[in-house]
Amino acid sequence: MSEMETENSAETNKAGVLLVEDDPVTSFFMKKILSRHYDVQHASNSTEALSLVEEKTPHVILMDINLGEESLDGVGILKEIRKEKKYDPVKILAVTSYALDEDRERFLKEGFDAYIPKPVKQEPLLKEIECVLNTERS
Amino acid sequence: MNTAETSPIDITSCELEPIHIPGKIQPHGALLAIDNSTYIITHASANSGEVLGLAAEDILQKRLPDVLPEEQWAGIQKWLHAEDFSIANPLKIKLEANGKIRNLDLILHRTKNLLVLEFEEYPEQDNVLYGDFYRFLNLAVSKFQQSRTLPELYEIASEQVRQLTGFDRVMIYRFDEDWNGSVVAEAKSDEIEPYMDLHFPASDIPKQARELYEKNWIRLISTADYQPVSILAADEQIASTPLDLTYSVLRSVSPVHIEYLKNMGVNASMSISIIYEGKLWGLISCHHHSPRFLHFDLRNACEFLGRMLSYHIGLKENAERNEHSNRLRTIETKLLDQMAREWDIVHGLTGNETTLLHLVNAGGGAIFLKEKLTLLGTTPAEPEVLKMIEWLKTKSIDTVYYTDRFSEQFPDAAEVTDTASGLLAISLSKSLGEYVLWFRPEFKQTISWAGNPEKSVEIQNDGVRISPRKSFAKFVQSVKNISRPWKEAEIEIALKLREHIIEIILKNYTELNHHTLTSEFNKTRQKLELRVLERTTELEKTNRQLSLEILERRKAEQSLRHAKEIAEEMNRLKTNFLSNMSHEIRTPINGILGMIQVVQNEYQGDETLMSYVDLMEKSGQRLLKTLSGILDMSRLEAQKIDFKMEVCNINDSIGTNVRNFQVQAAQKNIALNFYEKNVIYECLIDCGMFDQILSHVIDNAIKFTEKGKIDIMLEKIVDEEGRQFAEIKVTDTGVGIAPEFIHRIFTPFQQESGGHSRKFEGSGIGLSIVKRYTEVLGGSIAVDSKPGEGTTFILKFPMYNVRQNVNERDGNRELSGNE
Repeated sequence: MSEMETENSAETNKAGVLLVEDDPVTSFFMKKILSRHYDVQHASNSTEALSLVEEKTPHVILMDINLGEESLDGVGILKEIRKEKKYDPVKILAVTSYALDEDRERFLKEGFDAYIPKPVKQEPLLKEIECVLNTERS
Repeated sequence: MNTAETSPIDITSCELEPIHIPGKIQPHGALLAIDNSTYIITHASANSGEVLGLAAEDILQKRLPDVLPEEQWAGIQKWLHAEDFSIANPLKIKLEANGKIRNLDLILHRTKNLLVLEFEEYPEQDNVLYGDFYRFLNLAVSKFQQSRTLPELYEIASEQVRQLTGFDRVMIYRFDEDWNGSVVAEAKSDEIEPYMDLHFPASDIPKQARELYEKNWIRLISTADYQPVSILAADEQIASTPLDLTYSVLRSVSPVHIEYLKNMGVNASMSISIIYEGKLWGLISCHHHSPRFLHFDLRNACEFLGRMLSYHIGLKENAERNEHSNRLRTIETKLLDQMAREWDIVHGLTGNETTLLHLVNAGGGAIFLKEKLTLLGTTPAEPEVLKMIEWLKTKSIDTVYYTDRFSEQFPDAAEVTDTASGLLAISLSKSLGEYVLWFRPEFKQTISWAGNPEKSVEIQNDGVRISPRKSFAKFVQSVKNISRPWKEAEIEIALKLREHIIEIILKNYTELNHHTLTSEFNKTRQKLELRVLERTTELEKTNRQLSLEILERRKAEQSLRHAKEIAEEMNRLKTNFLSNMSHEIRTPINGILGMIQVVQNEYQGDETLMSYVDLMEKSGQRLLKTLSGILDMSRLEAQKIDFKMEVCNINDSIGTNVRNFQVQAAQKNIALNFYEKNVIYECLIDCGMFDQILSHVIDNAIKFTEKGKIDIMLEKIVDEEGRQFAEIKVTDTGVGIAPEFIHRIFTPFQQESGGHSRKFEGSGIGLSIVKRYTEVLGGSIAVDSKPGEGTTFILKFPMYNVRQNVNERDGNRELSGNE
């Protein structure tokens, strides 16, 4: 997994994606899927996530909501990031197993730029990322 | 160099034995521990030389990369900083020991700042199925899904695990609330004696062992005849803290447990945890008369079965709970009707065919209201019941009280255990001491224990060591003065009944009050002419009485509100539970489906693999569909689904649906026809929900039709009161529904069994949702079927508007603007 990261960071022309995800299996396959197209960083808790945002300033963040932490969940991390003006262009997507009917609205209301329910399908996921990346450029 | 082995522990109670730090391992593998950052070897098991070709005394205090062959180190190194080893485990390693190349499974885990490496020899000859894992597991899980009852599920699980592992005996072992266990299913070889239905006392699996089971899904003892191998530590300081083996696969077990197994005639033993709602529900317990080792991959497959069994037990238990509470609700509604119709609480609850006894399945009941006692069914005599009521008053019960061993609480009840071993009481008025009581008789039962539970362990003569019982011969114990327990749903429904009764008392009271006031006023007026002074006094008295009554009423209202708050709280908890369960199930499904996509990306060329993966994906998708179905169902019950009524063009909706299903029908060579008249039908409904209803019914028709056609007919009908309905008939030429089953098709989780059930898979929730949705929209659904000839579903929705001229259709649509 660490090899994958070094491999990709060499290609700087790829857009940077930060994956915030605590489930190891999900992290594993998401990295597999994403690293074909993006420079992927991975954080499995809020502390790692916030320090990677500061260090790398990714273009897109894929945020799991339930990280098994008491203190800060995905929504909390979003709010932390949004406190800083300089991160305004960073697109933050909720990628979560909270997938009941009302959850989409709930997370969009919290301020996420898009909402992707789990289980994640690769085509729609990649499409959604392209879509938010394009809005950023325009 | 020092041994980390702790001095012999004085075991005076099993609960005190620190089994997670035995300082020893089982000898079928070797253990090393290294420092996370320096890779210096801090611990090595004494058999490292034999197993790894690296003698403990040679490698302790050295760095692991310095003692391992370079190639093997490279294979390990890249995983050392993984957050979770579940993907890495087991790493396949080759090492030379005693002049022989050994194939080893390396299993990694972390404890504090140490990394623990456990090496297990991988058997050259493997007598159990290996390559067929996925097919086997897939089949096993689909059998789980097809099971209709919990006992059937347990039985299937025990058989599947036995098939997978080849153990002599595989038991499903369930804990009760006091942690005693009982065998609820068993698959075994013919020659050994059955353990089915036997009970085992809680001390057989003490608390700290259960805690380990909650953390590890699997524990294997490959032979009880083993010599434990000590773990050696690099220096004294390291030796002073024993190595925590909580997550170790080689952990040596308690000598008491080994003795226990030997007394039972068991040599190899494996336990797979069953965890439900985060709590240890039970175990899949496997025994073998001779040594038996399962390699890590096989144990992993067992863990998977354990997890799937846990999940299916959860599903089934919830479904059974729901069905039960639905039944109770029907009785509750009936009782409420009876009370309201006759405006008489006591008669409403006791005077008809359905009585308060049916509500909670009680043997007898009593109502104490307005100082009058009414008995029903089999109850203690009147004076005994009055004594109980006096006793209840001293307990100051706000809402409900229940016990299944009443005589332990109230000694006088020891005389009446034949009728009242169990008591459930709801309080109607605390100040007046008014109650409704339910009694349950003694439930005589005998429990067969595996050995005398009173002598489950014996303290030996030296007084410091305990040893397990020698005999596991059946020991029969009879239980006295205890009734069947009151279920949560029964208590809940009793509380609901309490609300209704209080409401009716309140209404009666208000009406009565009105009469009293009028006559009081008339009297006062007469007196007015005679004695003004007295009138004032009288009025004041009335006023006082009134304010007293208002106060009393407020009190009653408050308790009603309290009951309502409790009900709302319960609903909220239920919704929370559903949302959490959905999340917890979705996460692993996401893992499964995600990994499948990775395999599909990377192994496209391998057609066989692709076809297997395809099957896995289908199963995963099906699981997901079942999950959504269950959630919809439960949320509908908790009234969490919103709908939006608007004028909807029924013709268009059906037309769209029929077009959408043409491909599916054509694949099965079935004609799908829509017959509409020269009329546009409009109903005031939620269009989205109507679409879901219709597509489900059509989907269902296609699913159960092998040849022929499906006709959809749209007509207007008028009922005897002159109301107009749009009637949609969906008629197929399919297998039909058996008459004994037809009245249950709208009940959740009912799917016709036998015959074609395997072919037409599903979770059996769909039609019940269709019915709920239809009713929510003010419509109705009925079914008519002849087995072998076909089935017709008839949907009716009240009409909003009918227009004759189809030619003006488009124009009209624009005008109405409701599309």
